[in-house]
Amino acid sequence: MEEKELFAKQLQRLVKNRLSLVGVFIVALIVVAAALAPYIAPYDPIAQDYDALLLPPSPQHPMGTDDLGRDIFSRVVYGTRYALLIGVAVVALELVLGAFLGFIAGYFGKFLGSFIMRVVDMVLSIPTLVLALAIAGALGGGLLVLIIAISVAGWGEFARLVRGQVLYVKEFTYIEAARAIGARDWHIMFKHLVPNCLGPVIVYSTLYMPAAILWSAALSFLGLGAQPPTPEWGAIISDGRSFIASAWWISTFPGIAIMITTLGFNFVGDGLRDALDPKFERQL
Amino acid sequence: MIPSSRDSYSADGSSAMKNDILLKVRELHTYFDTEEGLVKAADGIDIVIREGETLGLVGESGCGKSVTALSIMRLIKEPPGKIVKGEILFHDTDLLRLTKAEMRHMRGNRLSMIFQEPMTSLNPIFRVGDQISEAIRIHQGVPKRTARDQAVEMLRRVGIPDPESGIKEYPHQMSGGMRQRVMIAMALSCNPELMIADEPTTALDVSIQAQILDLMNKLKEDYGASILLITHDLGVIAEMAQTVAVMYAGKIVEYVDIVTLFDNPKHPYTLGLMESIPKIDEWVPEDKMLRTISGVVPSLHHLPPGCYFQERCSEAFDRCTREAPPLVEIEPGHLLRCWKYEER
Amino acid sequence: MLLYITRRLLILVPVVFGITIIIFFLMHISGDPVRLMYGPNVPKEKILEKRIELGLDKPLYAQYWRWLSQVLKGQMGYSIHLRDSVTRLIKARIVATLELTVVALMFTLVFSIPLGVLSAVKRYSIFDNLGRFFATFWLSMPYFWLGLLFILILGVQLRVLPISGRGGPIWTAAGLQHILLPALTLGLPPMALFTRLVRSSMLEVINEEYIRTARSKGVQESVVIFHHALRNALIPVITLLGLRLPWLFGGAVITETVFAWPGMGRLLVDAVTQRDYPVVQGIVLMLAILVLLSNLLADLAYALVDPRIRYK
Repeated sequence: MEEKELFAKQLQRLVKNRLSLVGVFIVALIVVAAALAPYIAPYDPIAQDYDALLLPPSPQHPMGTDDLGRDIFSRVVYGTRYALLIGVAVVALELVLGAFLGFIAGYFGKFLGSFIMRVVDMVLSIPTLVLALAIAGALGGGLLVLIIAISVAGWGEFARLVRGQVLYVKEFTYIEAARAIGARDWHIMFKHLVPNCLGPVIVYSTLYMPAAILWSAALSFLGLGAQPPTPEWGAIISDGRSFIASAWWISTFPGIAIMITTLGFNFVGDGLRDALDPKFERQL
Repeated sequence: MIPSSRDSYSADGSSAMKNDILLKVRELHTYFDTEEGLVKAADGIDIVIREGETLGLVGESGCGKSVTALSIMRLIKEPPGKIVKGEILFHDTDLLRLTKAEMRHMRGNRLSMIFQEPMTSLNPIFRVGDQISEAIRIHQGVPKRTARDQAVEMLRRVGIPDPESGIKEYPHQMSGGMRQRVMIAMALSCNPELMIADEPTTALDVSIQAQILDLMNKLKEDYGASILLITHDLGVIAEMAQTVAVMYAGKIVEYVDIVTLFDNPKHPYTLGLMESIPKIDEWVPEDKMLRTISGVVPSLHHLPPGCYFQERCSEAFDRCTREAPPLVEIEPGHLLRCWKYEER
Repeated sequence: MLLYITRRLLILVPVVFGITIIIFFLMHISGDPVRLMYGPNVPKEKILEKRIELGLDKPLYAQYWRWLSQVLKGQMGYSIHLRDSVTRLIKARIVATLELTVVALMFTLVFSIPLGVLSAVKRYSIFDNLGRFFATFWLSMPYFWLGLLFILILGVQLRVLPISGRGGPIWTAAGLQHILLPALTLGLPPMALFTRLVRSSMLEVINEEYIRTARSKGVQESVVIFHHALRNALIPVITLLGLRLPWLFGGAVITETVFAWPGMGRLLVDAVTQRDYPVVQGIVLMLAILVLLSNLLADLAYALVDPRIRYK
């Protein structure tokens, strides 16, 4: 291989790794911000200050203030808590729901299995956002509703993933089980199932976090998620919408925060996927 | 170096062969730059093909025969490969000195190639007829209608029944043998002077192999073309070639006419190949029924000093481990690369 | 071919049926919609009256059946707030939504295919590495925020393009102007992903043996790439397209809201906030059907490009 091309190839590998490190760094930053929010944020995120309405970014208010005098920077910092909370909660809920149903679908197969998969297909035909919107609307607004709505709308992918793994494991543990005593079936399945599932599930969870955060921001933006005065990023962007011409900072900064957070998780997820994939030369 | 009887001018000045030389490959060196180092896939290859002749290039996988063929067609991927040195004279034109456009004009037109795996060598989403007429349209500039008719004619010539509907089919709808016929039709569509066939029957059933080989021979006569036949199968060579060059680890080790090759093979590798052909028609004692050449082909990254074949040669001696033998004409028309005959 | 289409359409029927069940029961899980509509201070009689009016006094499955049979007749219910037939409301808006999604999709493909081919042909260049980064970058983008940015920069600051509403059919100048920003907002984020897919697909295809055969016939390199290779490379792209369709329609909902685009999505959001559940049911069902139909279209396109699928 030509010198230049070999170098470029190695550079690409390094860049890929570096991106994952950047991702880890970002995620760490977000977690720290969430944990230490009260110490980092200069103001109370929901405190209103009628003397400081719609102020542009300045040393006192690095990200400006909104129409109720609230400091945007503080709100964005506290927003990390909600982002993480929602992300983790949604992923956890979907994992439980999806893994459970996926396992049943895979393990019991035949009629029950295909039935569950048909349901998954149907649910997946409805755009996640739309379904979550409808559910959130039906249940009223609020954070808890948000989490439930997104989870119910999106568990299908997890279910598919787990079912696929179960089927795969079923294939080859069948041979072992044929040799072992029949009663050992369960035990063997589990022993093989968990390590096999773990990898893809971890990767998928990490990659789903950003999606969950984006969905929740979208729903909050539409007014169906976090209710005021909760400083959730999507809600803040929504607040700033009417002032887009006069006070661009209200909507802009939380959006940047969302982007950085999702980028971080995506980088980490990509890195994990590459690491767990035996063929290192993945092109996507 | 090529056998003097193949060369237009032999040692005594007389021309041993009547036909003109079509292709003359001189000192071809094609190397590959890999992560583990430089691989000399074709290391100093000299071959000659005359008009109407079939030259067989024989050897195991990885010996450089395909690389040689691809080099002639200038289809080597650069990087990582590169034709480092040499001349490929087609009639008197050095193909290596042509521009890309000029070479493109040659390919599919005056020299063409068919490949081993017809399933993967045909584009799965285009109809067979279109794939054949493509070459015709490019090189002969005829309108679609004419090219289509010619494609039908080609399919008829290669023995595909009902060619009118055949041209509308897709590769996956055909059997392996049919697909290979299509490949041959494609290669011959512009009446090339040289057809290179890289393991044309290896992927086919044995019963189909014979049919395809017969077809190739017949078409060769009809078109007056020459064939460079690449294979690892001596049986195929016996059917098809007039001259044979045996390759090992990037070099030619024996180069002679077909009759002499089977009557009087000299190189230990060639002998090994001969002996490993299972004999059905002779009675052979049980322990001699299926012989193999012990050992494996050396990795082209780590070639031994001296003769490349030494580790598998039952007749290797001291000199073989120290010096690499050159290709020598031990008898008129018989080239050999082995110290065994030098010593004598 | 026709058989294939018919067969696929028939399979859709139970799926749609199942979806109606899911939608209906999800909408009614929150308890009494009337109470939620009117709040706690309304007298019981009023609520009861309304319930009977809306047919909510009947058992759930009866309500479902009533709704379903009406849907089959083309009547999707009656909007509580807008006092209009849901069907009519949808009809008025469906074209706008389809316009938006189609144009957005076109943007995605028109940008990503050439970029993807370029990336594949010029592998390992800086361009290529950046592409990888950008794919993830755009996937992390909250597109409603992107829309707001567009509005801010192009609409407000630079005053180049209009920022809300629809200007007319797309073949008019006004129509084009108005659709540009929303379509870009919807079409840009997936672009990088598609570019990467085209790239990796091309890289695989370029190494296939039939490409070598094409070259051995003396075919020009540009024809090899754009005719022989690209068509094969687009096959997985069509698959990805099909998978992204639900996302596309979901994104349209938000984009319509941001840009005040008069489509179904905007109506949906309004209806949800107003608890106008017949409208919500109707639109969600409609969107699901649209997703399924476009999936079918994608499958057809797939069969068109890859003849191996056709003869099954």
